[in-house]
Amino acid sequence: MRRAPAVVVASAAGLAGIVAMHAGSAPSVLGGAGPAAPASPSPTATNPPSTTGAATTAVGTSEQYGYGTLAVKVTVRGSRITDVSVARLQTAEQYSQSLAQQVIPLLRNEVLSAQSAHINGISGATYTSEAYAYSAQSALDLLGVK
Amino acid sequence: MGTVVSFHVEPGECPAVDARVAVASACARLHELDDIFSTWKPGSPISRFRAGLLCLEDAPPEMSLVLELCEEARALSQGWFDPWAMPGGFDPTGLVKGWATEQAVAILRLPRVEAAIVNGGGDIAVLGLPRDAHAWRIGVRHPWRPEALACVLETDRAVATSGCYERGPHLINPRDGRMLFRTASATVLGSSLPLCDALATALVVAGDDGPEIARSLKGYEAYIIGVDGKEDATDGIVFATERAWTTGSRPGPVCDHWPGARSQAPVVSRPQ
Amino acid sequence: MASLTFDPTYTPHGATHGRQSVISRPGAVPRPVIAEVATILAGLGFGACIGLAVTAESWKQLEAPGGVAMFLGNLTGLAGTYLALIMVLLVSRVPVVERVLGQDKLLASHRRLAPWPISLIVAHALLLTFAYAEAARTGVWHQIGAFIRSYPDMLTATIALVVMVAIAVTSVYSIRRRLRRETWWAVHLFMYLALALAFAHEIALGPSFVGHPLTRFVWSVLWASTAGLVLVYRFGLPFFRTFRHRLEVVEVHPEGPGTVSVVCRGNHLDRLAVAGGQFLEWRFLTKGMWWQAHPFSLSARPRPPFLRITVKGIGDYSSAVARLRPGTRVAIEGPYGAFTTHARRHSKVALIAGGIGVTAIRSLLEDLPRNCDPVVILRASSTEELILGSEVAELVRHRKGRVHELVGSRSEVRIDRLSELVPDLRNRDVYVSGPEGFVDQIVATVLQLGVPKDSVHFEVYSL
Repeated sequence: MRRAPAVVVASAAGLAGIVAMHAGSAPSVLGGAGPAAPASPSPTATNPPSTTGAATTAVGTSEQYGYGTLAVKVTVRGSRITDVSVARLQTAEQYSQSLAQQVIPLLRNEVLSAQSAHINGISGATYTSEAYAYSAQSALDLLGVK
Repeated sequence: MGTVVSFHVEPGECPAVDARVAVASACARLHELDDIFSTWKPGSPISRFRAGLLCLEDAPPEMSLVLELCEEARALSQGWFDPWAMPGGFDPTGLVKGWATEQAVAILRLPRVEAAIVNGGGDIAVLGLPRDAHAWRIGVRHPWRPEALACVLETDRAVATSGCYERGPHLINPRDGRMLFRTASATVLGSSLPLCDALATALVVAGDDGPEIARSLKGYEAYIIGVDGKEDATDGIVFATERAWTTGSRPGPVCDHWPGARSQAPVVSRPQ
Repeated sequence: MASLTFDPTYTPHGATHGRQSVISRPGAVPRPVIAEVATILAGLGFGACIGLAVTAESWKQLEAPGGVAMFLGNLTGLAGTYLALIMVLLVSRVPVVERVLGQDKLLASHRRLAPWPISLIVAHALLLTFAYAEAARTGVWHQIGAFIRSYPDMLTATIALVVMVAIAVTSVYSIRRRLRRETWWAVHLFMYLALALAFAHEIALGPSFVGHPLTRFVWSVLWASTAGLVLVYRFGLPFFRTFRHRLEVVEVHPEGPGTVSVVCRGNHLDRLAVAGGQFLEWRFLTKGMWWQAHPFSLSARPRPPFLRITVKGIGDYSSAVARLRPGTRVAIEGPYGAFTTHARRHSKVALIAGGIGVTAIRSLLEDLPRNCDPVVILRASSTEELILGSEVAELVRHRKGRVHELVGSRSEVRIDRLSELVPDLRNRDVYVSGPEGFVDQIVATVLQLGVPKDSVHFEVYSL
């Protein structure tokens, strides 16, 4: 049984090694952050600005809904909401959905960012749930709007 | 219904105050429709209708309109969109979202705004064309990268997208009652937003038959993304290219508003 | 045919005595560092598996419905499957490891470890079913159906689980003893199939593998290598040796009451590297015996072209050995065992044999050098049962040692007698061989007398 300590030490080393390797490559996965604080909430402007003011963004609280949790990200210019999207989504089903794609496929115009694409709107299947509204509301509360 | 609806209005020559009033009344109308069609409110007409406690004659006239639309959608989609085949009873929610958004845009016509785009939970209804552009640029959400777009489409008509990527396999195949995974996302463009909505749902559910059905539809264009990343688009789909983007500043929206879902916890109806 | 004797004065390296003039090959020298390295690698791998499970999750995922169960399900899956891999490696009979640790010790470790992988894997299945059902707000039974219908490779994984549980159930002691050994063994072999069936779902669904080609590659290489080792050393090498040496029984003669020696003849036995004290698995290819393999120590070093084992008739099988007819072919596995001269740390030895355990001692003696000053203690219930006594005496005399014969009831062998007979026990390597109860008692006594654990070597004869 003197081998037991050696095994335990080796296991600890193996565990540490994997964790270190993982932390080095993808720092954001272990320990997701909570709602991000807005950079500088500016609730004062009331007139609709014709030029863009400083945009601030907040992510609402992660709310549980039927299939997992989601958090809504709201972007505001002044008191106008300019963008609402889902910032974080964790579902078992989505996970299992992604399992069908072992290699994440590339789509045409791969990974356009909504910010840089200069679009008028985004069409997508979205969430019709209370969680979505609550999370969005909490993001707005953080921004101090309405 | 728990959806976020956003308005983007370009007043043009219409006074800003009129535009704002129009948006407010559009929002009010959306609340009214929510009261009628929200399946999460047990006392709503749709809930009572589903439970068999309300018959069509006593229901608000909007219900009959929606029912007719559902029948039309079912026929158009060759049975793949079938709100009567949902577990728990007749559920027109998929189509109602688009129809309500279309109603909101109709209200915006009155003060003669130059252009407007209303986005009701991913269903987009448009009025006119944006300044400095010949078409609206609509991004289609990437099925499995929440912050990214799959593509950008150019259109002057309504856009609806359906997919099974965020709610799990809630889409039920009406033919055998089973859940499907094969299509990740389907986007339909056309003149009637509720029908686009229903067709998009149908195309996702139809799986491998989707592209064929899409091509058989007259007056509607479709863009389908499979779970393996394979894309399929009908001939009428116009993809925006990088260089053609206009650089003019986006006009500020007049106001943004959404109906809060102040209802009880959502009843997630699932197959047995 | 005149009885073949295995001349005790025969020395393995050189001089020819009597009829035998062909040298037999000594066993390969074991390298203990290999076992140390293997142990450390096993530990590293286990830690790495835990690490993979931990790094595949984020805190937010734990908060989702079923999130904690999902994490635990992944963790138990990885840990349990890795331990199953270790289980296979423990009985893969890789020579470099087997030489150091001994097949009997490896089997004992395999048995001791067994509850862990099976429990973890069952927990894995239960936890993930619960987790997915929670996330999808559906019933557990419906979720099981969904798993099997819609997820890749889950049908085979479920079959694998059922097979594993069946194997575990049959290995529970109270059930195992009701089964015939062959039945239990046949069921047990299906574990290879179960592990092969389960592999696909690990790669297709494991969160540490999906989208991580390097991890997938390493896991696949690990399993492929293990399969290769099993094929080569567990199945291939025994086949090879059997066909190369083509052993057949030439003579069966009695050695004592209920005890016989079986002499076999084979080809190229000068190429069979065997150390004194080792055993082989013997499968006599005759009606009623061919489906069983039993371990018997060689009771003498090979005298090419002859080998000898000495078997005591307890139980149906051993009694059938006494009735073996000359010409019966034999299939062998081995040689195995770490009960050899290479395990020594001192130059002096004490050899303690109970009953039939003398066979290993007898062949071990041939390998011991002349300066080992052997003290041999032979224990038996009666003088007739002291088999091979004259051979042992001759070998010991040749090495200027002493033999003590302790005959009588069990109470004769007591702690004070041992220290009397071998006062300098602590400076010797102690080899103990015999039935289980005997070995346990003597080993405990010897340890109590202060002999360090590394100097105690034992071989248990179970029925």
